[in-house]
Amino acid sequence: MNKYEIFIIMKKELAKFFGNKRMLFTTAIMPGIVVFVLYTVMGSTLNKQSQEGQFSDVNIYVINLSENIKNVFESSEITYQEVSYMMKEQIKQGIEDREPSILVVLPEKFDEICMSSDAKVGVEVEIYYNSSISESVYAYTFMTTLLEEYENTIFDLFVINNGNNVYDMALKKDSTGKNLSAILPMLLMGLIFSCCLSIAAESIAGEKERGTIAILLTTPVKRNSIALGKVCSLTIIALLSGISSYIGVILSLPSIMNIAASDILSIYGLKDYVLLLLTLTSIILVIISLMLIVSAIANSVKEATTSLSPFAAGAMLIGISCLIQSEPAEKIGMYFVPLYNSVQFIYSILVYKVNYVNFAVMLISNFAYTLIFVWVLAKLFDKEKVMFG
Amino acid sequence: MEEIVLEIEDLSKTYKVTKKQQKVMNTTKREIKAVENLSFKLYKGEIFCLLGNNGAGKTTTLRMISTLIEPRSGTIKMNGNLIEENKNLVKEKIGFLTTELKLDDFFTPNYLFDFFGKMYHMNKEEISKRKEKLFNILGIDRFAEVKIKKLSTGMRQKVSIAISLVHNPEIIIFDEPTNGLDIVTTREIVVFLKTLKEEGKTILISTHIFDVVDKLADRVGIMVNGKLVYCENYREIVRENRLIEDIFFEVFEEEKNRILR
Repeated sequence: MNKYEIFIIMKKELAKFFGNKRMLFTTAIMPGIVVFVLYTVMGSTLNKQSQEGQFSDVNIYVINLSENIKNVFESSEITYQEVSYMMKEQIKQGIEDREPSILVVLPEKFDEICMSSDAKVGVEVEIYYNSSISESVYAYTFMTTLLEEYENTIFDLFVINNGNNVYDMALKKDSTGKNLSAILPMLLMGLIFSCCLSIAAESIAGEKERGTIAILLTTPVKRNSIALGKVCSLTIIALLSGISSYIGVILSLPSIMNIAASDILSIYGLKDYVLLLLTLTSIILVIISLMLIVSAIANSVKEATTSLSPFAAGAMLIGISCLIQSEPAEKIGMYFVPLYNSVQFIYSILVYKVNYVNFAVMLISNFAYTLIFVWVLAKLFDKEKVMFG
Repeated sequence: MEEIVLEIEDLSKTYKVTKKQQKVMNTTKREIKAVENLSFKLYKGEIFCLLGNNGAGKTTTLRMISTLIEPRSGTIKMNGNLIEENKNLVKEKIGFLTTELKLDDFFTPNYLFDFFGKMYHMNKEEISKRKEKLFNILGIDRFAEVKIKKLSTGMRQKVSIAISLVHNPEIIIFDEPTNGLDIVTTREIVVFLKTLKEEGKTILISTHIFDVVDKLADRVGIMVNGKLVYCENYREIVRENRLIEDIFFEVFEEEKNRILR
């Protein structure tokens, strides 16, 4: 292995990237913008939908409205309309005809019945709605919840967390970390994988298509130097892309999860960011070197891209593992498993459960996998069937 | 006595045939012979033209000499030494140009020349001197800072040629260097190859263009179905008042009939 050769190969790959404004924009800047716009729009739409559900203009008709229920409605700022029993069938017909309405029918002397011992056998309340109209469903759900809450105030023996104290003892940073750990590893894995795919697929398969690999292989440069030079330079490019995506995710979190970006930036220290950067670098090294092997075996860029695409689903699946685990993996053996080890370590960073032994195992094993893949790649350069078909 | 720089003896190369290929080729053979018992010598300062149709085995032969692929049997000696024993030395002495070469669109001739110069471990001064000379002869100097994607096909080929000669190799191996070029660029490249011969370089080119052979060849080899079926001094062909085109089709038909028999 020759450092000078590696440096020259790296310089060329980076020059190709930084010298092309379009490629620089699409790889390093656009992922962040796309992620930010996509998740912000997604988050805003979801929020809007849930708000629309609460405050939509639905006609709420009530028959036999009692004094206590009237107070409950007024304290919840609900606009309602009290109607007589004679109107029942007419309103029901309206609901059936897709009018955005619901009808609440309470029994006569509702308050008295609720307070009496007869209430134990059940007080019948009817709520008519139309499940094919979203607003009607939202109003129905809201009304059911409201009446159940009222029911609890009458019958429940236990009054839980009804005071003004703060009952959730989790620190803000702990709850933010927990929320982030559910979504961030999966997003990062997906984004890193797609960034790596776009640059690694072209790298060797493209050179094979253009015939430049043949010229490179007739020079005295060592195969290991070509392999390592490509892996290192593409890792730098993918890392830029990963950082851009990370910033995009962080900035869009206020919209998706109601977590302020400033909260996320302030709850993690410099040490956490350094660990995160090292972990991301080690993941990218493994992914890039593995992808370069596929790119070397493929006969064209198209074939390389097609062959690598199914791996994206695998990467996302590994990222999802954080959603089903309540804690990051503790067994040291798990930190030898490529990709899974890094996802678990990102999880540990986000929930402040960093174990430096696990970190060392993850980092060393990822570097070892990278070296093995680089060695395989260098060997592939000598395989004439692989290089020249 | 003429100095032998390259000696190819009994060279063979086979490729495995997949089941899919067997169906397409309508054969039950598990292997096809791309090159079969090929032997010829290359003398210092000569231009040897390897003539043949597509699939004759020209590219495979040139790739074996350039150490890109290994022969199944036979030997290749450079200045009396087997090439597989010191591949790096061979690479220093050979300048190889493949017919499929399409340089990276994003780079300029200047950048690519420097890059390949560094790949041959040349220092800045050596690269600069060599660049000045080659760019000047090939007329690239005016386009040195223009990106490859903006260059014409002919200029791109000239840049490819310059890059393959960055390290001033003794032996030049060009696979169809005038393929797909217009008549003006073809002539410029032919003239350039003659200049290289005058400098004492040994040149081996593959082609299927008879005019290029007429203008360049000191000796001609004709390959058909992986075999060298004809090898003659060009002067001898001229002395016999024969055309290389006629000779080619004569030996081509003969070999075809021999296989059919």
